[in-house]
Amino acid sequence: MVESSPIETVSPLKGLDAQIHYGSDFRLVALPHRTRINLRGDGGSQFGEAVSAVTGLALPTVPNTTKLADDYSAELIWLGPDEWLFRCQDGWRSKRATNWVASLRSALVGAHSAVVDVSDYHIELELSGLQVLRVMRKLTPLDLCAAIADPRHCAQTRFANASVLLTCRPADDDTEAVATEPGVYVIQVRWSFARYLWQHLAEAAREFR
Amino acid sequence: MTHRNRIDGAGRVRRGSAVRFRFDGRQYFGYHGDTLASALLANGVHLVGRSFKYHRPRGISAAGSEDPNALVQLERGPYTQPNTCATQIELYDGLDARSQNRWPSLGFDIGGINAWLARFIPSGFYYKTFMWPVSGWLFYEKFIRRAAGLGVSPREPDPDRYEQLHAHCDVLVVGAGPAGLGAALAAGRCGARVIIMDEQSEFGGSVLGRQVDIDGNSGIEWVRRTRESLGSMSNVQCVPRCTVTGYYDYNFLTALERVTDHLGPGADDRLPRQRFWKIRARRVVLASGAIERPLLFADNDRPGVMLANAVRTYINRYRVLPGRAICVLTNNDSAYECAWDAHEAGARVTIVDVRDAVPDHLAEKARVAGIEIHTGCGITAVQGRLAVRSVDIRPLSQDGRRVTGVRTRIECSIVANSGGWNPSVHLHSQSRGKLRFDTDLHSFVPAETVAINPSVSVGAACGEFSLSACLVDGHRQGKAAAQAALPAGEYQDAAGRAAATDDAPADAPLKPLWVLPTDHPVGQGPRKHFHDFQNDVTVADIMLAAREGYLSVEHLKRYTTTGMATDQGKTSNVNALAIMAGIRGLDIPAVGTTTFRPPYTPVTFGAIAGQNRDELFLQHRHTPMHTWHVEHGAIFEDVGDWKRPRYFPQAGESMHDAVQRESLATRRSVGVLDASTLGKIDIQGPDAARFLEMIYTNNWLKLGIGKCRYGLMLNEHGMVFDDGVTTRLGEHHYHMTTTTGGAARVMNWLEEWLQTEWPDMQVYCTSVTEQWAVAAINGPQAPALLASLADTDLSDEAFPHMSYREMAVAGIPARVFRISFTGEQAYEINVPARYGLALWQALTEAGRPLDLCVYGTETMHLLRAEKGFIIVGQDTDGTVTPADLGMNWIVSKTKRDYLGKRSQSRSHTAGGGRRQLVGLLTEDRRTLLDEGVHLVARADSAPPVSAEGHVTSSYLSPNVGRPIAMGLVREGLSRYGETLYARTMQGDSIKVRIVKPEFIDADGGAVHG
Repeated sequence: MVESSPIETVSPLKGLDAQIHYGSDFRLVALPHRTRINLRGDGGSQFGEAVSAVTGLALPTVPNTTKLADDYSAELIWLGPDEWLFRCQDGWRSKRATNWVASLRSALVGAHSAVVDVSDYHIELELSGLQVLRVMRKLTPLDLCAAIADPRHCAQTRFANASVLLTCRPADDDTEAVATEPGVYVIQVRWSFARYLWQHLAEAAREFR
Repeated sequence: MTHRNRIDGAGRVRRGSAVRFRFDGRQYFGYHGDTLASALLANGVHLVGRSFKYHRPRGISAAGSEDPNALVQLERGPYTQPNTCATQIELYDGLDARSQNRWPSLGFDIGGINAWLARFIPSGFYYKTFMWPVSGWLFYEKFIRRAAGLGVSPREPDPDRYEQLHAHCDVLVVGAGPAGLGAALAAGRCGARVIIMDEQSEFGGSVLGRQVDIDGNSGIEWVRRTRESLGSMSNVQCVPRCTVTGYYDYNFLTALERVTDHLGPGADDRLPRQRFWKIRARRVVLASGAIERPLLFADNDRPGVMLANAVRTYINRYRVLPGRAICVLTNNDSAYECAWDAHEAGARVTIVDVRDAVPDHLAEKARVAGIEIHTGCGITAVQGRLAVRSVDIRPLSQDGRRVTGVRTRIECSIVANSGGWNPSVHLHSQSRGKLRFDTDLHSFVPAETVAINPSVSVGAACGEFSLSACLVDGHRQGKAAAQAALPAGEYQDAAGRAAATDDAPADAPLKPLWVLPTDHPVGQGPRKHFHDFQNDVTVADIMLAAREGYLSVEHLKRYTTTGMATDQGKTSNVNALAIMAGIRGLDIPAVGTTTFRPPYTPVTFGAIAGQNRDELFLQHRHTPMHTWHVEHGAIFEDVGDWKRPRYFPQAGESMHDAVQRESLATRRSVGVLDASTLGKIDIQGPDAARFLEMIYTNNWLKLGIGKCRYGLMLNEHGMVFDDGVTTRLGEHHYHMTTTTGGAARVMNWLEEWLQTEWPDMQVYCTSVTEQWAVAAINGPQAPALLASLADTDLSDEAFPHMSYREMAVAGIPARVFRISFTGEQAYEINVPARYGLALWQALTEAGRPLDLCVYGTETMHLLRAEKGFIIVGQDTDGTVTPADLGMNWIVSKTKRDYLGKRSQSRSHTAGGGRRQLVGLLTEDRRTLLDEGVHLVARADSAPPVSAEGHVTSSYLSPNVGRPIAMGLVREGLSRYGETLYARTMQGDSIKVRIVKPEFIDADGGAVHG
């Protein structure tokens, strides 16, 4: 319906540099808008099968892990024993957020669950580079090496005063991101904190300018 | 260019790399690798400052962070820093330092008169000025504050940048001397994540200041190779110029890294000046070394009196011989090394040993070198005021308390003083580890640690003073720390062997003598025995404290201020305990020890703040429409972290003008408010209605799909704590709104009840506050405005008040709630955040022909007050029930239960005399009451007057045409028509009438159009 008409969108990062890129040391860029669906349910096999039937991804049941589509365009993230986040590129499998919500709700009919479109709740920032851990360590007390020992781990933590969801994926070829171990990081931060966090990251990366 | 006191050989300074610097305005030069202290000594400058209280001339007395004397004012303007320790300042080109606490000059200081007044200003005089005469302190304070103290703080904002860095490791090694390096190497090889930090510019610790051989090479070469091995391991992080300053529970430690201090102000714009580390370590190895302690003799604070190990360090590390004639005063063997090195460097050396006998190998070596040893003697007097010229020595009695025999004068410019060694137990003590007094070393050494702070002290920090033992101990404990920290599978048994060195003969016992007698009883003549140089505390002060009953160590410390200066008593604490023990005739352990507290050395506030300054200090949360507000001149107010537009002044308008205009326009035509900050919670589940029944005071079971309802939330005490409109979106699906400030609190509240008390309820709550941008349009033209952007039937029948529809507004998918916080026809239009600005622009465009007005929170407040709508947190303060608000209509009488229900019938809540929300009108129709002002019954009663209530909200209402107010008044709901008086701060009484809080549209017809 109306979503097809081009409506001007706004980002909290408006007016800031499009990216911060310091050679192979560090790169920070805001990701384009994604479809993001918050899922609540008991995590049992019925729930898991329904979710995976719709998304094509297995439901991660190991705490702080994710399931990533082969081409990285969709992901299921464990947020809690009864909470997950499904995120995918807009238009993935020709579906928009409203379609995903409808599909998931109908697949989960009868099961106690909640499916909520939170596509605009967070801004997604992608960080990469040889010094990415060093930059992040200026902002978060989390032991990143232990918490995200390899890609497909995730963590909910604090960067400065912002609560964030941190995920990781292997660096791939078609991205401009700098390939590093364990991979490329994505920070999901609330809309109204995105500008504050961006400025913090820019300051933290300053030594690699 | 030559230096008076520089000797041949490279040491650790780069002789090819000269740097210029200024001290007290005079130009000098030094070399890269010098500290300010070593460069001053090389130039023959000993006198560097005046003391805190007596303004005594003071010189450089140590070579490390323990120096209590060598404090200077570094740099100028915004970069200036007081009380920086010259022994820790690495020399850079253009460095500019000045001496402190002197006027007009360092050599001639008026404040020196304090030294003559000393007998009138002993310890505790400061406290006595508080007591007598009673008014005296106010008079004295100005003078005392000016006369005491050291450097001056900059007046300008700090131009430097700082940062915090979090770090995690398996093994943190504090100190990179022989023990620490050995520990780090062993732990690193075993596979542990290791961080090793050292406060000096380069690793090596004591090796840097001594000529020793390790593993068949020079000690310096061993340090270089070890540093290289550490550097090659990816699991090891080496951090020089970094002082571990604090040890907190659960092995959380803080450290200050001086990143660019050694380059000078503003040298590298990319790097922070200092970095504040927050380290979480599984195991801590404390290899912090030991600090030499001085023997206390008469006039021992004269410039030229130095610690013996410092003299040795200046000779070997910096190739600076502080003086050509050196008198070594000692009670132990270690100072003889200083004598040998000074002799080799060309000094004329005399040794004064308070012991009666000297080990044969030392006596023989001295004899060969032609060094005279005076055994059984002590220094009893020092000649020279600004610099040592000579010292007098006399034989001491067997117990060391009295002088005997004849005086001998020794010409010297340096006294190299050693009273033994104190292990640096500061961090161990900070971790709440216990201390034990070692009766061989006559020092406190680490004893048990506490379980939550697993750590170990190694090497000299543990009282192990021989180099070979330090190497072995460090290696062993580094390996053990790695093994303890690592899971079994990750530990590799690859520590290798410890480095080795040829052992020197074992040390002979030291003689536990603390204070050397002089020609007059200590404290009863002109000569002073200083034990805390930085706070100018003498041995006599401790005796005074004991006489006045301050026997406890903690009392002693506070009464005399010993150990309370920026050096934290690194050279004085144990001496103070020993003196008190001597006075009381007790053993030192019986006197006790004080608690060491962070920081080990001073930490700048800037470093603690890190990058959290200016716009990074606190998040400014913006709504998606923010840029529009900025472009249109909004004045913002802080609502929690949010920046909300308070009003939109047009050219020349004051806040009052703008709010009056916005308020009139909204009721006349239509106004739009950015309401994006309202808390929003998505609630789903078969028990959602039952859940809302418990959370809110009113009924929810019969709310139809697509309908909205206002609700009050109470806490367990029955007090109002949030309010908002909740809408039923579907069969088991609700959309709750909360106050802006209450969003997080309400979300936590809901989750707490669901998770802890009602786990049986099938309800899921999801915060969607930031998913939606919200524009609230209010006013008689609101339907026309919405109609111009939405192709939907907006008639009262199709879309009545308190209902909800989904529609496209300006082509944007929207959730529209017909609810009103102004009493006018109103819609809250919710769109996904990314479209918030587009919606706003469409509304303001479409509203132009309707005379649309954009308004802010101030007008929002005014408009709701005209209707008597409450604001939780403004008209309530956590002590207000629904009944107090006259809102019993929203409290269900039929529900079995809801949160806060039982408290409604509590005697205090249900009883009389409660303050209730009423409207207030000033009789003169002109005066605007101040919010918070108290209301009393009579205009003329003299204080104390009991208050009848207070004003919670007050506005000049253009729509009513007079000031209106609301307030909480005792039993106000039954007092409509009565008058009260508002007593202002200016002393006026303003007559007010109590009315129903409903100033406009009393029949409520406006919302329906």
